[in-house]
Amino acid sequence: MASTSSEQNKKPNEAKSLSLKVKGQDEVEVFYRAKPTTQLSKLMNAYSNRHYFPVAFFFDGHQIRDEDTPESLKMKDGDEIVALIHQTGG
Amino acid sequence: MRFTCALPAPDLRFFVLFFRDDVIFQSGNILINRGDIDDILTNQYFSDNHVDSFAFLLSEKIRIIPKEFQKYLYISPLYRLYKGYKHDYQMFIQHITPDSVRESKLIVQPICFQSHWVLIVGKLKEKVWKLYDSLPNPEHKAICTEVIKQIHEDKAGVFPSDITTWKLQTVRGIPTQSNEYDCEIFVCKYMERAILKKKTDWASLKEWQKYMPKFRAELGYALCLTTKM
Repeated sequence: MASTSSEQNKKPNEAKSLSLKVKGQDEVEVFYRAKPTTQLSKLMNAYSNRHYFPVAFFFDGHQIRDEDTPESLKMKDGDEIVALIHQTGG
Repeated sequence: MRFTCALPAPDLRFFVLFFRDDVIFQSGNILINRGDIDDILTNQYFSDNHVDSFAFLLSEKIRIIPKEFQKYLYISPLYRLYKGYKHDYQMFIQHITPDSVRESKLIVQPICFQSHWVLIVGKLKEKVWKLYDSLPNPEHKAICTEVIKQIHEDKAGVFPSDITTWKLQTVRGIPTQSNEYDCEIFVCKYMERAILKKKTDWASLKEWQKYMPKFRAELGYALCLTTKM
């Protein structure tokens, strides 16, 4: 009984964490799990550390800020974040 | 009497790096950090972020003095970037509808190609494309034709005629850059002039190059003014 009650306690927390897909310019998709209240800077840093070049992250046409969270951007499970290198010229 | 400081002078480079990520301005796909302002002021290349932010400030100016400007449809350079990498790019062209086309006079599209910015302006009434290029080159013209084709494919039936058949003319006699880093600020300023109702006397602006640092400073200042505390 104790184990089932602990499972029941865990489940709502697990359900809360979202699976977010980051799609880069190389069309490679990387999946991350994040709690709705976790700052997306964590996810963006994790992605940037893998790619070694400055990337801008967009969700639904909006550029994501460090302090944004899945909750503040109304993200749903399975939503896609676009990672792009800005076009620069001069 | 001479005073000496016991503490070593602070390394300002550290502060510059430390605050680079501070957000100065955000609107939709635009996010300007303090580092972006530094780039504007130190003659660095512009990104689509900078060009879009200039377009945003221009739209704000038009809201205040609409009489001086023609109605236009702006397409963010991100449209081409998103499309190129097969992302959902519709959000950047969804404002182009038969109604909005009917109400507008111009289509404005900045293009970044091989680290160079150019501007194309479609005149809906005259059915002609005008190319503003601060480093005129036939290669730049070729990429514009490609972009026009893409817009036509994505917005079939929205325009009263086939926009790919419109003549693409390079605007002659416009001021051009004499260095290797100012094309983007030229594109921004071309955009500002191209949408004016009053015809621009380009001959009187031949000396534009020397004012580019001032225009950069104006953009940086205007963006800082938009900061919400």
